[in-house]
Amino acid sequence: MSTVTVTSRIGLSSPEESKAVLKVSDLVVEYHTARGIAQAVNGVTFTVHAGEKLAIVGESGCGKTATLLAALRLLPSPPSKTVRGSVEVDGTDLMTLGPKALNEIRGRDISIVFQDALSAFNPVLTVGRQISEGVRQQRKLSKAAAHELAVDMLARVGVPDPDQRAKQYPHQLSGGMRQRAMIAMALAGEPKVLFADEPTTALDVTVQAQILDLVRSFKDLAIVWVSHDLGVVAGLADRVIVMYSGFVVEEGPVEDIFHSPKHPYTAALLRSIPRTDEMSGTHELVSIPGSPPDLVALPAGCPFYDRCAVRVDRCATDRPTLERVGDTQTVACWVAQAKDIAS
Amino acid sequence: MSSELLVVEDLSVHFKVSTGTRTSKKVVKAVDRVSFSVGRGETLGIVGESGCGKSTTGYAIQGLVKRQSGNIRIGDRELGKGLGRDRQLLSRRVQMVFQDPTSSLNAKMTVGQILTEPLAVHNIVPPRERAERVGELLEMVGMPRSSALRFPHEFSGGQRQRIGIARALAVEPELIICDEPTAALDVSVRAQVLNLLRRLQKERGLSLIFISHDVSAVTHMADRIMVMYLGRAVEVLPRAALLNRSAHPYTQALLSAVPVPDPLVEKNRERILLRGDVPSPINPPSGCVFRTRCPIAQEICAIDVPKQRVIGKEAEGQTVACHFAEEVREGGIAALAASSLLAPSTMKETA
Repeated sequence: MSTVTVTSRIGLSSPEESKAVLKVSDLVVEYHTARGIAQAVNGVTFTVHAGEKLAIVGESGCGKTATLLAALRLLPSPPSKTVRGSVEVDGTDLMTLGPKALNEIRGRDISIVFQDALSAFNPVLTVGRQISEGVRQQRKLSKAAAHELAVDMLARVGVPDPDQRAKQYPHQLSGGMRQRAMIAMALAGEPKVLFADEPTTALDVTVQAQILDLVRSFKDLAIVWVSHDLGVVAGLADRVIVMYSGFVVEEGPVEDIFHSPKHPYTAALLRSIPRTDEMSGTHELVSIPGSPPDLVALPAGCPFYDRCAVRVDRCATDRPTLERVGDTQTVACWVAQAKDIAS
Repeated sequence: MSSELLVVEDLSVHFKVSTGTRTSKKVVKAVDRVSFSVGRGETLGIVGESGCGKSTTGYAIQGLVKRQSGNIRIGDRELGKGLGRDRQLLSRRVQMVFQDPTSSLNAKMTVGQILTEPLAVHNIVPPRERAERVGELLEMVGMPRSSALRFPHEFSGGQRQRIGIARALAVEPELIICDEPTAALDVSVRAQVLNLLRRLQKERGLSLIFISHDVSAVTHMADRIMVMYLGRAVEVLPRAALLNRSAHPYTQALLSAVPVPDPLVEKNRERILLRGDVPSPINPPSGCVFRTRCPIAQEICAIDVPKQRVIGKEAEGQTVACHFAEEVREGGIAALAASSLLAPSTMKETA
């Protein structure tokens, strides 16, 4: 398949092409390690439309966080290197911007929420000051107006007693509250796109439920949510990207990914998690044998080959490309693609 | 109750903590008067959020922390409070699998040495047969015999956890306490370890205590589940009762907060959202510890500490610590909070 047809297929999947707020194309990231070059992100391409919630799921080392950080140019170089790719926010390519222009677009058009709120905040500045800092730089707000903005943002994310909280330091807030404050900080510049890197993983499950409820209420905000937790993704996302060893292996609407996964990895992953709503309990969980390949020495063929239950000879030598399978999904698997043609 | 392997009565573990600026020390009741039992061949799951005392409970049984009060009985033997005397006997009968398979295996020992140590300490297998036994243990957990010559860092997280399990199995214990055994593992590898634990339990008739914050893993593994909150056991119930017969507001809220990996289910779910975070264990609420977040808390909840009591038929094995357990079990917490029957109390906070 030529690149042109692939692009046109992706275009087909999104009739509201004009409203795309974020386009990531062919992102490639390497880490230079003592053992050699680790290929962390291998040609990731996706588009996010206004108000859309896109989830990137995968296990540790699959490149999901590296994708986010590289797209915002937050990865330290060295050891990492973004080899190629473009990240267009409303038509502006982040990869070609100078430091000043890049700083302006971050926080205003696109921002990010991290997993660990305690280390993401500066411990010696008040929460309120940090929430308004980015906006103050861009809009020249007075001190009083900045405080007002911070209080307003904290109130919007459901922090009780926001005026008081804005004057406090990060360590004085509880874990859930800190995570809300970080969301307030990310949203203060009213960005069009919010990146979220497992923001609820460090939280207790009842507090996670509160944060997810809050995020679901942001109807107009486009979100790229990175997570390893399929339950969280099921309740949040409109569309899902599944990553494995730095490759996108499957993409599609959330219902289709969960109810008719086409890639053997997605299917196995879904069957490997116990569910609280089915108390059958006696069934064995499906486990995926082995572990993911070494990113320093990726196999020539499909990265999932060693662990795959349905592999054929071709998978060992030919790396599958992402192709449309069925009406809504794209899948990087020779077997799934062959089955689709046969049916 | 001769079929019970482990009986824990009124277990309390207190820690002294310094509160920062002051020189005075405060007491954290990490585990506060918790009672439960584990039958032979049974899996008890202990679930709760951070700081609820689930891991400390496990440590106290194993004698890794000193208990303030309470009795622990294994088989027909009462365990003394000291950490010394009963230690060897205890470690023969009760073993532990830890959360972090990297720090719980000695990095300077080969896997063979790690597995030989318990055999030697308890002198279970004559020295000449130990190498053979190590091989058997490795095969039991699905690892090749050749692993014995390698070091822990040469293995992946899931494989290291298997080695940890093999070490626990070495002394042929009656009870294994698993403290978050899968928390450090990826989803696909987690299933391997859960399956292994279940298989070993069935084959060997082991008793397990499975401690985790992961409600779905606990419900998958356990026959009975103990739900903890701020050092207290708020409810103990059979797995089958968890979905629709739980009687404590926290149990229902916890289950409702666990995301289900199915977009259709998620879309149509009724959610019970709790207010705020778990309070600090240094300064827990008066009366019922859950009352500050409970959607149906009444005045009595701030005054009276609810006792752990049997609900339903004794044989059902469900105990709960809530003044309104019958109503909660019958009506469900969401409906109760919405109705006027047990509307959220308007009383002032009695801090």
